[in-house]
Amino acid sequence: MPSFITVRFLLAVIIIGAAVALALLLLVVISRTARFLLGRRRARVESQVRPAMLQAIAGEGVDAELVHARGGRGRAVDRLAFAYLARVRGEGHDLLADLLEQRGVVSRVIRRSAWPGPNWRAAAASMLGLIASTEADQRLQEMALGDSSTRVRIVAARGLGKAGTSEAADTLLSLLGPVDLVPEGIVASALLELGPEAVPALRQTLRSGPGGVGSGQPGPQAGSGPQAGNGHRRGVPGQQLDGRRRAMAADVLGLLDVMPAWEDLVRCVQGSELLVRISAVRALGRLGVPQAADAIIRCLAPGEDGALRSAAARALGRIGSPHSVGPLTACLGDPDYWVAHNAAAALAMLGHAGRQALARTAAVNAPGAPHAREALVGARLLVSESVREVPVPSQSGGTP
Amino acid sequence: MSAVDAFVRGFAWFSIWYFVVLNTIYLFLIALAAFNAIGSSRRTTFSGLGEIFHSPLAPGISVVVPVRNMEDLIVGSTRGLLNLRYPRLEIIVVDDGSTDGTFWRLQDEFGLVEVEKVIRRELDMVGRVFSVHAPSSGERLLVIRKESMGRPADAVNTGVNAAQYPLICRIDADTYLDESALLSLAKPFVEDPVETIAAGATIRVANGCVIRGGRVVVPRVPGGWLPTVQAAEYLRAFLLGRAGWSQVRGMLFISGAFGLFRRDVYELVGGFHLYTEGDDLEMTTSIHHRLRDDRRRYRIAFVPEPCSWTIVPSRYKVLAHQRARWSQILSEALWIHKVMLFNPRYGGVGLVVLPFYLLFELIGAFVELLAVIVFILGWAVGILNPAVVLLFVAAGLGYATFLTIISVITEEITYHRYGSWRDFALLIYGAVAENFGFRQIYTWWRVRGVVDAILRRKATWLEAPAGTPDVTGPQPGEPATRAASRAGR
Repeated sequence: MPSFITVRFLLAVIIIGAAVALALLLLVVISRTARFLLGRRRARVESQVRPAMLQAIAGEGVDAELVHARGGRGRAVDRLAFAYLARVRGEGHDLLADLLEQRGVVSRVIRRSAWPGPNWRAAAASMLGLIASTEADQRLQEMALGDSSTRVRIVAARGLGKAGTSEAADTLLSLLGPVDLVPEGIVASALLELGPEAVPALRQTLRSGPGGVGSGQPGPQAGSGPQAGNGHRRGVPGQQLDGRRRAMAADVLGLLDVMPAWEDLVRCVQGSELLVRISAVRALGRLGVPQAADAIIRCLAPGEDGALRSAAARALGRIGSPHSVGPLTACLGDPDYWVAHNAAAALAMLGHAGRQALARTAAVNAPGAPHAREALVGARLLVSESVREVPVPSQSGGTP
Repeated sequence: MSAVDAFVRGFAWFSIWYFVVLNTIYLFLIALAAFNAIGSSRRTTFSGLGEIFHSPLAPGISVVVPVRNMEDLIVGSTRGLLNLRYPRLEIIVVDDGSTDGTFWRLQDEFGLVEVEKVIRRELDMVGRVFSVHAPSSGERLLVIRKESMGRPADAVNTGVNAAQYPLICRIDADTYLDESALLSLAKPFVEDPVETIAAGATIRVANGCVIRGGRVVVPRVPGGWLPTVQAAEYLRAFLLGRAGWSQVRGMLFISGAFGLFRRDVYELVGGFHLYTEGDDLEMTTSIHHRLRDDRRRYRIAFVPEPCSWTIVPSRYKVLAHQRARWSQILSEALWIHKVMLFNPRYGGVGLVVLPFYLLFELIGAFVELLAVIVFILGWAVGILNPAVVLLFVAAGLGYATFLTIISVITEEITYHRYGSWRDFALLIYGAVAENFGFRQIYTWWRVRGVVDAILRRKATWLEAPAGTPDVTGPQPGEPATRAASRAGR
């Protein structure tokens, strides 16, 4: 046995270990008790403040007490204001934002957005997103482009989506580059949240690639603005926007139902970048533009990529053009499962002609027969569901 | 000094240092995980789950539920899954040759009709598919009836072949999910869609909880020695142990009870290995193996928020069976992927994680068993003095108890899901009881599992004793769980 292992040493180790464990347990007991008491107190104060707050949201005037409340009561006002900000829109939202402005909360949150801890900064970004004022928007743009923490940039990007300004759209698009400052999905969701304000920037992005109508034009000001020269940026492209950006722009334009963008989208379908072509096909399917059917049908050609062909099949179903029946029927026996599957599902959406084509394929036991049968059965189930959803006629009359 | 004396003394000191090293590694992982859990709990208010739910860009999830003889549970479970909060979701229940009323219960509840479904052959599947059914109501449910091959891997592969979405959630029918569980698990895929290829979540013990409509509405720590000990053990193993490994990019276990995978990666590794005992562990190790071979950057995420709950065995026999099986599964996985061991090509997984499991989980089982015997006998015949025995108790058991208590405390200061003082007291009791009594028995089960793996390498899937009233939870009569046979590993 090593010489340092004495009974006294052992006892010391065990006593210290036990003491640490007991101290930690005591800490938990204290924190539990404190949490309980604090929670009860918070609930009591909030219940006192809530009626005045609801009155303010309803436009019945802001109680001066809400503006000047300090201490625990003031914190309750701020908590409730942020909780309601997340749920209300329009005038109620503006009134709450004004209340927070008058209370000095906005400047406080902006100061907090520069604190060292990323969780603090992210919480501040989340609050700024809820406030959605010009000042908040400006700070969010800086945070999205320049914060050292990805998490903070993500929350700031989400906040920009709520801001509702076209500058926010440019900033969001410039977050994507060879190495994204914020993941693509987050940027796309934020652009969707922005809605119509994002459309000009998205359309410009779509046009700016190779083969696009505005090829060579600069995109959103990726290399300028508050982020310029910031050491945290990891390489945003300058003039040339990459295919991923255009693909995302195409997807978002489709989801936003921007019908005027269809010609740009068709050009993208005819382009050479696979990712962009797939997204443009998807977008055209969502828009349901019959004029785009021919361009999409060409994407079904056997030499094309499988992902593009399956996206094209799906899009043609959504567009509903009768010209698609032949090309889609030819795809039923395709060796690529998803092409055949989507072609069958698309045919089921093409009305009588499509279903007849499916029935013919199913009857002759051709290679695409299983897909055809699956689509026909699926279509029948959908029909039964839509019949089920028709309101039951009242006693007074009317037919389903 | 005789040779026996020398061996006993030498081994005694070896095992004391073994426990000190093992528990210090755990302490390191626990510290990492605790910081992560604290940060994660503080991020709840701006986690963005609501944005994912409302986004049309959220990746679709196909939930694959392999079931066999679960007639008591299947309807509530499926209903609970259909009501999960997620924008694009389909539920695929694969009835793996049930001989009870599992399918008929589903048919009655959801008005199933037989449909044509072309099932891809992307992944290996052996059992013949009898029929495919969908609800006439149009709900996003698909029920596949197939011939059982004795292992759930075949059922899971069939479900994945029938899936249409890019993410696959593999879940057991007896796992209870919180309403936003899928949103939490999908979040890493939304935030890092390129590198995130799989995600696991914290699983807690559902025994004793109040469960309504397939949801745990009031979390409680179960009473009774075995369930209480397991509640404390799961807390440590999931909240800290796995979260800790995920912090060093060494997640080796995504529980079959609740895990999310990218379908393309699933298909890349050929899905579940049909002829091993452990589908989920083998799967996760295969992913590491393949992606490291391909030199791809990837991330297996872990969600520390407790969002899924499983019933654990409350009977000694069932538990013994389950734990021996875990050990067997680990042995098989290490055998299959032995080329990864100590191989720098496989980075941290090959150099640290797998060797850790080999040394401290597999070989460690024998060391720990032998240590208990040596210390008891050595003390009894006077070879070891009481100070050394006391040191062994402090290093092996006291240190481990300390770690579990830290887990309980971390839960208290982060997610705080157990509200009552009774629950807190039970968890502390479980932390102590786990190390004084349970752990020694568990060591024996681990040894049995390794021996089983060595003796019969092609072990058969041991079915959960479905229908057995093993559960002490709030829904008496629910079957003992298959989830429990994988979840806590």
